Amino acid sequence: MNSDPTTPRILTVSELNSQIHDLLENSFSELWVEGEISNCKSYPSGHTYMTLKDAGAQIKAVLFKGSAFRVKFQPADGLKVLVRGRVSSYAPRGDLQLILSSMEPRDKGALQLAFEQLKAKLEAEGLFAEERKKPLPPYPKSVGIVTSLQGAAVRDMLSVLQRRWPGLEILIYPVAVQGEGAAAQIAGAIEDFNEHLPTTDVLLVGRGGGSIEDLWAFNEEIVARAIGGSKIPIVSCVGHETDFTIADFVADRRAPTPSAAAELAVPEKEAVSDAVLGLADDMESEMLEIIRRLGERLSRAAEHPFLQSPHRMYEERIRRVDELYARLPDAVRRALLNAEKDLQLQAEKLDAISPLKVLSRGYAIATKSPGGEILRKASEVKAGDKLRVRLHEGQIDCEVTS
Amino acid sequence: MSKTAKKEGFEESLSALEEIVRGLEAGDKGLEESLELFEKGITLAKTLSKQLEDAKKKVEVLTKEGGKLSRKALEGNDD
Repeated sequence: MNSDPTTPRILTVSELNSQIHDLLENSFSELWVEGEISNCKSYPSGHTYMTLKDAGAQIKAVLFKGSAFRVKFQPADGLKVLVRGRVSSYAPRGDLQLILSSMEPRDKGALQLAFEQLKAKLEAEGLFAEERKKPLPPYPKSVGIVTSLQGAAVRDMLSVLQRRWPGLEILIYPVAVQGEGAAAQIAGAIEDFNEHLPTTDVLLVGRGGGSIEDLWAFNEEIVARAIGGSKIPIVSCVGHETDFTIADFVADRRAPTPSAAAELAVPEKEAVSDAVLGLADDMESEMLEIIRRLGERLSRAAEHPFLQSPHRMYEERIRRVDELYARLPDAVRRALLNAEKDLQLQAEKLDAISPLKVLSRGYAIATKSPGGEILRKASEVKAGDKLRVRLHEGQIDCEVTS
Repeated sequence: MSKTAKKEGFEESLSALEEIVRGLEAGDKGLEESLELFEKGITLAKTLSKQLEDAKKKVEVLTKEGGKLSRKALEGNDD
């Protein structure tokens, strides 16, 4: 090693970068910086790289996975943030960068921003869409509760459920509703119900009131996804009336309080009992009405003239038979007349070709007197034979003389 | 689940009863059919009311051990 103080010490690049690194880490080990995020990129590794800038300068920054869990919102370009961290250099390249340990949005609370970001993201996915909402069964047999066994929420739900709808099977799945791991427990309980107890009719998921930090688990994506993926309808009830969580947006129904959720989930026994009695009453009056109407029809039928004086039915028939009888001779006469005319016509035709017609013109027919053969030649007879001559009218018996 | 079998069909029975009332309201059935419906309806109404009265409360707490859910009755819930 050169001990002459006037001779500059020659460093390797690695040595230089290492010294810069040490200097930076010692001098800028804990600082707060304000700036706007740009070129932000998250990697599957869980690390997020970005540039922080203001109007005149910029510096690279990285949020490693180990610190990222503390940042509830999603770093994004254009966000004004206040970050905490240290300056370091990346020795292989000599790059300067801020290594972030936490980050706060400048314009609003980190949780508020995280809420808005997740809400926008899930809304864009359609997870809040009305058509995804499942109807609650009107008369559930089994209700599941996902909440803490401590606190008023579970007691409120139990008392409302049992008062309103007796005979209900109530299954409580105790979970932590705030703090580390609460979101995973809530999501896991919803999934367990769906996997192991799918006949559960409805799930009540929620907790009593608290600060936004207390309610935070219900704003976590994992819970939103579990609710969105549930086949069992879910009523959410987180905090008080005015608290809205992401879980409320995804749930099939949102109730303002745990008690209200229980009221939504089950009908009231008295009301249902009244409805059943009302139906029985309706049925009875309908039945009476039917009997009354049938009775009316019966008496209308009984008032009919035929039933009033049955002989009228026969009078009517008798009149009809008489009428037919009266018409009968006429018809027969007409038929006979027609037959007679026919007959005469036929007779005239026959007459025209009759030999008697020839006789009427002065001809005569001679026949041998015993025997009756018609004579056609004079030689067929001799003197003394008897003949019969038939004329148009009458006949003459005579004797051959020559 | 088998313990809830008695409650099974409450909704179906209620729908059936409503259907019967509608059927009678339509008034297009004969006396015999109407009476038959009426009798069925009365039986349904009785069963429904009985189900509402007889119901037993049951609250259980689920615990998960080794990937399996088990149930036990909730303590201090005797009301």
